[in-house]
Amino acid sequence: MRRLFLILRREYLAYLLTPGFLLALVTFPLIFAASVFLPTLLSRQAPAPQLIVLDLTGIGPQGPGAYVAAQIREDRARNLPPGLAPVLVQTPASLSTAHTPDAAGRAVQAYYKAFGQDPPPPAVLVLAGSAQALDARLWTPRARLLDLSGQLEDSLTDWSRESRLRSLGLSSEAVRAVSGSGVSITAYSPASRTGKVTLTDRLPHLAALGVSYLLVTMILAGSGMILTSVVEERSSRVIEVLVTSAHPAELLLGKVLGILCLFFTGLGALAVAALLIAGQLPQGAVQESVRAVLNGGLLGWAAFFLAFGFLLYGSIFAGLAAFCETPREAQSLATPLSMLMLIPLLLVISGLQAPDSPILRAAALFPPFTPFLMLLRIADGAPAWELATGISLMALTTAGAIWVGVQAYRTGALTQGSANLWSILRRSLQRQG
Amino acid sequence: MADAPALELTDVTRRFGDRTVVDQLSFRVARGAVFGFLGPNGAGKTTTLRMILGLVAPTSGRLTVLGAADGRRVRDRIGFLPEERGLHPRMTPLQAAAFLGALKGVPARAARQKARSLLEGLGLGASLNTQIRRLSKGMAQQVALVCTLVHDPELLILDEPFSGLDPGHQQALEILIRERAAAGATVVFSTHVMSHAERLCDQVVLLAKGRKVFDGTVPQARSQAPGRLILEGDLTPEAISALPGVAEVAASDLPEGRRLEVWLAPGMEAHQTLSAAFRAGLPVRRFESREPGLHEAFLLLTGARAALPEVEGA
Repeated sequence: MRRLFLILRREYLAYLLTPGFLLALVTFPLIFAASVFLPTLLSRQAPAPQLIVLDLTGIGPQGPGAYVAAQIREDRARNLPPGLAPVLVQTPASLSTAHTPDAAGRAVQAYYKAFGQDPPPPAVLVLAGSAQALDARLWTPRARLLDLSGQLEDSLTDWSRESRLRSLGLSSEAVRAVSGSGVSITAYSPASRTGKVTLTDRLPHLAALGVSYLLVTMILAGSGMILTSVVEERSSRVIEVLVTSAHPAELLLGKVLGILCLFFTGLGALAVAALLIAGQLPQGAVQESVRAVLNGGLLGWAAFFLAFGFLLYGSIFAGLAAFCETPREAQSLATPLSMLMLIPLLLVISGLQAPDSPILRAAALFPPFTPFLMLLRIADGAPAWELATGISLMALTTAGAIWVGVQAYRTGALTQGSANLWSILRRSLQRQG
Repeated sequence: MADAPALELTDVTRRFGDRTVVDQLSFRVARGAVFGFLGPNGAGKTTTLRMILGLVAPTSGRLTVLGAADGRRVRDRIGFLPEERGLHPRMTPLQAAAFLGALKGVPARAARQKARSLLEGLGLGASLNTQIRRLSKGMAQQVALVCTLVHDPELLILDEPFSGLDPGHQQALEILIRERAAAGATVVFSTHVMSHAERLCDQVVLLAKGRKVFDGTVPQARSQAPGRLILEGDLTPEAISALPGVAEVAASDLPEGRRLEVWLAPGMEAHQTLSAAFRAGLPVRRFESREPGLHEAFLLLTGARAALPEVEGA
């Protein structure tokens, strides 16, 4: 135990006092913040799309063109992000002579050709047909994944509904009242602390997703550190000195646990910083969420599964690394194992919709996936037997992984030149026999 | 158990697949002895050391290390210096020594003090806090040696400790080995350089192709090799071959007369042959007696004499 602690401490300090760790500590929250704020920032910084509305329906001021234009002016008045609030552009003379959608299309193409590409010309909404059968075409200078189609569709659907209601004899006030009416549902559950289901109650499910992401990140980053460390020790023959000073199990576990402690230090530092920031904010959803995380035992379970998951995969990686000559060799061996972790991650993302689906429940009991999935099952109120079975199987598998890792480490570490995994395992089993 | 040998191997064999690397090896090393483990490359020296350390299990046979059946059970009492010095390149000498000393049960503070004193003794006082990767190869080897000694091991196992050291560092290492032995530690080292073994060892074992070809003291080893006489004058190989104790004669012409290199039969003293030459009235102008060294014994016993060039002055 003393030796295990000494090796753990050495691994821990070897990384803790490096610029890389401090840099990671700073960049991690920056990346998190960027992932939250960057989409909004990009959308606010983007120039507002320009739109020409060409109404060929002949309906007049009650027509769809005027309705869409009015809604756009209203959206701009609400100070929406530029990406969501297009700017209306006066219809150019070359387009106003068209009387059919096809003629309008030809005119738009000629207009685009004359306009050039930078800055891009405005989008053109061509409306034709009647109130009962509206023909709406949106011309855009570039084909993009996201354009104004969805927003304009909503606007035209509203116009169509209101127009039909008016044709049925409803007054303009009644039509506005119908359009403004809506129903919102309030969710209640006995599992909720206050009875009413709030974001705080949904937090565990989101936390399960977060823990899965975190575990994958930790394993990917940690495996690299473990692989490099073992391969370096093997190639520099430090390993020969170490195995004459400590049991291979102490060496392997010390290494894996040292890196695990390093991650927990980083996460702890970030959590403390987050708590301090949350403490400065006024009472609200953020503080309520922090209380829910602290009171609900969520942190404990998250730490438990992160630790077991890392131990399970870390031991295997350390064992594999012991018979690799170069970091490249080790990385290529570890890649398939890393790819395997994408499966539980995809299951968690899909499982948020149906956390009690039979496939997810079965997968959560499959030991290599348990650390990624069981937190979602716990958040969804998994029965005690399911939790106990999952944890027991995971613990047994982790113990097995450590055993295999130690055998590979012991034999691989002392093999001079390149070694073969299967012969190592065969020899290990023979030794046990 | 106090009288038990530091090391005892009885019929130890190690095979890797069909290849026998160590074959029926037996020897004892008394406590406090300096023991030289000699042999050409691939003789099985490192594998034997690994078996002693418990890193590799013997295929058959029995060994005891400091009274224990397995080196791993007494790992805190053993200091091991591998052939390729194993040190974490980013640690400083003090950190490395404190870490490895602590693994062997020495409190960190004591290990640091001991390491500081040993490093300063070896002239590395200015590099105590320099990362090992920034030290020269020779300095790093000195640090590795200090890491081996920091817990005052009862049994020191040094695999090719002199390789890569400059003459000054080699001499310092010899002094250190003598000091450790004087303090009661048993020192086992493997080497190719016979002069170190000749100066240091109480006992040597010679391995060739996994088998023991000699076990005894340095003088006993020397006596296995023939002595040599160099004779110059108007001499013929036939006349010299007829003298008592002559095994082999090689002649070369000089501007005046010949130079004859005379190999004596094992156990034969050079002065007996020389006296016989004078008694026979042979015209010897110059003579030179060359005592057999460990190098010659090594070549003879390992069967490498014909393959290796003669080393002048060996």
